[in-house]
Amino acid sequence: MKINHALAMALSALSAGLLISCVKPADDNKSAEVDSQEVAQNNSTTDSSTESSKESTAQIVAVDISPQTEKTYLTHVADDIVIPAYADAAKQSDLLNELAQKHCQQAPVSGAELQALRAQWLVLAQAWSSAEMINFGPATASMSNLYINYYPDERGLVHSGVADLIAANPKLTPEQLAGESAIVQGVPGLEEALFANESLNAGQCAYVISASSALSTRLKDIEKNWQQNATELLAIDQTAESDRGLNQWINSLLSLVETMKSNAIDQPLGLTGKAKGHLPAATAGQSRAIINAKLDAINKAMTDPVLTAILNSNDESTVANNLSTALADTTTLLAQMPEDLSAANKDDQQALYDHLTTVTRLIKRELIPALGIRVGFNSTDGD
Amino acid sequence: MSEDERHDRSDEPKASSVSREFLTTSMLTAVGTAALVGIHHRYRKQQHPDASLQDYVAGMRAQLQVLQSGTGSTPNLKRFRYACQQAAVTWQQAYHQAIDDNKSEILDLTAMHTTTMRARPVRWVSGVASMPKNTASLNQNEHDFGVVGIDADRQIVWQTTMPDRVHDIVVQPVPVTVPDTQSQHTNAEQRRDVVVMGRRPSERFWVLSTSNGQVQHAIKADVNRHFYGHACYSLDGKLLYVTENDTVSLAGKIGIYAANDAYKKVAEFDSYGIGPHELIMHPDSETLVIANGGIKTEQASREELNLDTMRPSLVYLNRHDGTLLEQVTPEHNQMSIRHLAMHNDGSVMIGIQFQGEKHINVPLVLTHQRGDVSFTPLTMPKNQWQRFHQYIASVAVDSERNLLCVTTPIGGCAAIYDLHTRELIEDMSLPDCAGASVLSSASSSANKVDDPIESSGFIVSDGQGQLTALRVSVSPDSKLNGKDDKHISTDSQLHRMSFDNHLQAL
Repeated sequence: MKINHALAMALSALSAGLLISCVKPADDNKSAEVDSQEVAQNNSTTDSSTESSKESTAQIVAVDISPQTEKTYLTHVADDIVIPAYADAAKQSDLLNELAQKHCQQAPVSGAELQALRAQWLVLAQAWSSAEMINFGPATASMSNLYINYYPDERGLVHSGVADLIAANPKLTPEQLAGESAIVQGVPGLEEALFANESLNAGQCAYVISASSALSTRLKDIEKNWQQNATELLAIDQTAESDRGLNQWINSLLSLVETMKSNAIDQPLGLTGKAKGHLPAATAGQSRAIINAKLDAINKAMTDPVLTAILNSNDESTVANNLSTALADTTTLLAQMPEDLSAANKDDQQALYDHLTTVTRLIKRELIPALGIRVGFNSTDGD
Repeated sequence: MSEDERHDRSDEPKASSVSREFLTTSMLTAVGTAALVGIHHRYRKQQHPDASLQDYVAGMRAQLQVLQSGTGSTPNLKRFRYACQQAAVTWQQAYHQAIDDNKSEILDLTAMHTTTMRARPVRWVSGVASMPKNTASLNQNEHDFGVVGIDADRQIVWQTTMPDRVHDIVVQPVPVTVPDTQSQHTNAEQRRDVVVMGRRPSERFWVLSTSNGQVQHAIKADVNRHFYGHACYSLDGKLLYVTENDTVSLAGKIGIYAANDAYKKVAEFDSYGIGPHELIMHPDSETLVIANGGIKTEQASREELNLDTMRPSLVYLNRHDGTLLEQVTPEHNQMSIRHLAMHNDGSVMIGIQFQGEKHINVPLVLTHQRGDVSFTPLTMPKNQWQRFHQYIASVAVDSERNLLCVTTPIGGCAAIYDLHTRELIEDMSLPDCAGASVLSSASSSANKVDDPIESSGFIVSDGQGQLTALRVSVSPDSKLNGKDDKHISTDSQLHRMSFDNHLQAL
């Protein structure tokens, strides 16, 4: 064999090896198509804005967020979103307590006075629903959020628990209540006392006063904890080396949408399987108001001007616009449904579920990639 | 004619000859390259109908861009070495298929998995719930699951995509000698596998090479069987034991697979319970320890069908014949026994997932030894087990230092126990954390703790992309005072991926 033949063989092997090793994976040639087909199959009700958003997915480029910008945004989240959310819930609990003290001076309480208490309870329940967008920190540590909102109550423990507690202790104090089980506390306990009875007797009045006071104390403690520890809780001082705070905050918002979709809509209405659990504020018949409060909280967080400015810094407003449109569509649909979502027709219930699926997809496929962060693995569905 | 002129004229035919040789060599090289690429493309086209010749040019361009964007020569050399390895692997696969086209399993593997790697020793292997998006191949699939090999510096060595979400990662305890099926000669090779289980309930598990992440086998469940998320090897690495479910009777089963016979199923035992999840090998090498979670799960919805009547148990089986040796049940029937770790002294470390009412406080970390009639809980400050949100995702034990690590993604923390005192040393906030394994003291970054007398610990992975080293140390002052006050320091390496439930040390 001549030397040039041997050399040609060696060079051929080398160059072919390089070309083959670098070859672009063939899967990439069809991934976009496969993905769009999957979305089309799974979400037959998506509107044109969502279609365009799917097409734009391939062009999502992560925004270059400087540590200072991230720090500014997270500080804004703590000061202007998180702490006010807890402060508002505490304030509404205080107002319920004041109203109960006023009306309960002469038990039994019924008619307009009871209606006023119920209306204030609904404002409180909506305030807490907004604050539930924060699924980390002092509110959830050691499951303390169960003492604020024991939901879902699949076995109806709140109903019997509150009745038994009032019967056993008709002069309940806030301090005594604070030491009781989570099932007789917080928003669901107050809902049970206010809505399961046509009028409030002295024992029920004492319970409402104690429960609203104990709840207020818990909420103020959480607010205070955030005021003192926001930097640590949102890793605001670590933005130079980590995006942990931003990641946790955005995944927390995603978690609220997913939990709402699953626990508060899909399971109680039996949309994708056997019915399980109950709608939020089912005893009050106010599930729409609770879902609306959560949607409103998500909407405010997602269309927040500081976040929008970050997203638009690439001269790219598609992500913010798509999210805003999807959330507005969902809110519009919800406004047309009855107060008690169980009374809505199945098509509307399914449409609400589908709209939330669209919102979830937009957060996962557009917002999170645009911010250069990651969707956490679904820890509620692990093994 | 001068001497120089004569010399120049004599060089002319030589120069002309060299040019001709160069041209011939170039042409032969071009033809050879085209032929080799053409052959590769032919086989590639069989697996990927969408493949095109432009992929070679596009891939080359992307690699050049990566090289240009890199800094320093060392990474470039690594990439070149990686490219050579990839070339070898690709040819190996193509050759393998050419001589063994009737093995459809192999065809499926190369079509379903994409592996990339660096040439570094692997220390841990982890499942990934969301793989990073490669700039050269922007795959936007929502379900971009995978497995990664991780080196001692907590950097990714190789990554392999998976068609389904994965769960347990099981490393063969020792390398085994297997016939080299890819050679025409009767050679044998030393190989160390890592088994990647699909998420419960699944129909497949995969066998990968620990060194480069290449998928060696994809094993499908038998008819009327599903895999239930976990597996373990016999201590000699020859047999793999897998938790399975009889989809008709819903009885738990243990499937046994021969590692040196392409993971062919060779036997099956009862697990003596419903919903077997993790299983581990006892250090006596004769006994299997099985966590029967107790839950009947519907496949499509993953809905639990028997939460009120569930009956979890810890079972000891003779690994050779499946004889039931011992069975222990927890104090509450809704304490689902899910995750296990084995101490070298034979103590079983148990992680519980409580399926009862949310406000009930039950112990979530237990231990058991052969012969004990019941489980023994570890202690929690103020007995506050709700810190773990009723859910332990992984347990890992460091037998030499008597330490135990548990993780809870819902509780957003990892906790380390001192098994001497059975008390909690500390819990660290780590949102979405789940995978846990021992952090070898040989880790290159282990000496970052300030003057520790003893430094040890665990590595914990999370859904936000962090690999966090939790190092336990005893301060010099504490030691001098005759105390043993331990404290934990953490440092994290961030990756652009979401790590899944489990990771395993080699």
